[in-house]
Amino acid sequence: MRRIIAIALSLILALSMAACTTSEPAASVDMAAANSIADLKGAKIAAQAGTFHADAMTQIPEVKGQTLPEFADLLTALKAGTIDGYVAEEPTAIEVCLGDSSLAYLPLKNNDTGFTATDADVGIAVGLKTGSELREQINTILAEISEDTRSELMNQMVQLSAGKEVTALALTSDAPTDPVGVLRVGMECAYAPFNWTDMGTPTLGAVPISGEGKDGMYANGYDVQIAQYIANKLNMTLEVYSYEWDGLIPALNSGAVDAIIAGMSPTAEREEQIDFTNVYYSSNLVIIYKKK
Amino acid sequence: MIEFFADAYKLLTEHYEFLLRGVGYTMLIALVGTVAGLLIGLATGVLRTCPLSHNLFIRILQRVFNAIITAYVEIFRGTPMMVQAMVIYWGYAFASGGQTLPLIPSGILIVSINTGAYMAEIVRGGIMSIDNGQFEGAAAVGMTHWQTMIHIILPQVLRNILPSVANEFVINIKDTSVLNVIGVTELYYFADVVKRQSFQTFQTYLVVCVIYFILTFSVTRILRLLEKKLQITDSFVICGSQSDPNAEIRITKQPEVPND
Repeated sequence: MRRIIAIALSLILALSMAACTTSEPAASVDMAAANSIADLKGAKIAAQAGTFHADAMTQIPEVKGQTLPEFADLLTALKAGTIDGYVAEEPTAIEVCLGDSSLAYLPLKNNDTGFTATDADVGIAVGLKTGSELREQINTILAEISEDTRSELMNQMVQLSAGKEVTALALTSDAPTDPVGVLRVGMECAYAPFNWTDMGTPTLGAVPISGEGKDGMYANGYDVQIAQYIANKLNMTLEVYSYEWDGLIPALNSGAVDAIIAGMSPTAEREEQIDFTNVYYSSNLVIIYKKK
Repeated sequence: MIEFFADAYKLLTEHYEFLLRGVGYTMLIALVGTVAGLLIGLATGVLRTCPLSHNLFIRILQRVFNAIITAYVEIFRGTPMMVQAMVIYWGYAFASGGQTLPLIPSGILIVSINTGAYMAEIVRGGIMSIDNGQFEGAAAVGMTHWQTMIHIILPQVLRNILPSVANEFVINIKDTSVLNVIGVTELYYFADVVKRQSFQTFQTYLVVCVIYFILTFSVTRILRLLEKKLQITDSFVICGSQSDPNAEIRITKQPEVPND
């Protein structure tokens, strides 16, 4: 009996190792010549795990897709040559290509030459605890920001995070003189130009990151400016907390933060766990690749 | 190639303040965690080797306690520290309705209980390695279990398990890096932040790799010195008198030549 159990256990162990597969040799795809995702057939494309990008990736015919845990890892993989390109939002792509002349991106248009996606897939919204009273208030505040201001602000954030000078922000509001409370907002602080970390010297409009041992670290980006605007209009002080992407929803649901403003799309799966406001930015999904 | 090292050097000079802070927290968590873990290990070791009492009530209590210790050791040794960090940190946040544990103390707590589970086994092994004759001898002169442990067994155990304790310390210095999942600002956390900001993945991790090596290498060398100091090479002689019951009994390194 014991011998049978031992053999069965070793078989299970051996089988679990068989799940590791070997990678295939690279297929060469001319990235620069592609006009639509159909032209990317068979390409090695990567996306950040747990995002809509990872789902969208599978729309490319015969794609050899892979997911990586962090956005910065995608760039590393691209530069190391292990992938042909990766899925990103257009503002991010502009920012990345501004900072590195060896990179370029395919200007795909959603639901046209690019990926099939709804507003819930590629728009980003403020995440709130299910049934939060803040939802209506924040929707009213977001409605005050015009489409022009949004694209101008995004443009400025792209410039700022690429190290260029910006003199005055497109979206400003007065800090409350007599705040009624604190609005704790969670974000990654690792997804320029939506939200990034400044170390030591803050860029224009940056907010210090709260938490033990995080002195001298500042958050800035499109999400931070929106969060600041919402907090000011709610007559509250803003506190920014940085969490891993997968830690954001637990942080909100446990009550460690009051809102997620982290470039998060209101997908159906996430709607099951948290509430979302209206979309405050919507962008095309594009593919970043390395120039030959 | 030169450009690569120039990049790495630039990262180091630009962010040395944050990297140093990371080193500080890494060493603090590893050191306190190892010491606390060792104390947990010693306590559980003494309790687990305690002979069962004749009193029925105390005997049941001992059995329950031993079962709890075994469960603790098996659970914390058998699950990854990263998962434990997530479960403890977010579990507490959900249970308390949004209160989060302070980061550095929770980092120390997680490392301590994890190390404690390993140390319990290391100490148990250390106690078992002591010759049975010493327990019998101690019992023969009427020592209690507690006295035997404090005066005879544990001093020898501590010396014998020092290499394993040093090993745990080195492992802890490296393993604190998993605490970045809950946002503890140790060295790896700052490496991540620097990487995201500079997009120079390889350079950043190379710098951090060198820093980790310097930390672990210095710790192993220092503890090796301590081991050398505690090593016994001399033989000992017990001096006393067979005829005079009031004569002083003492232990010396060299055999003493009687005066008369």
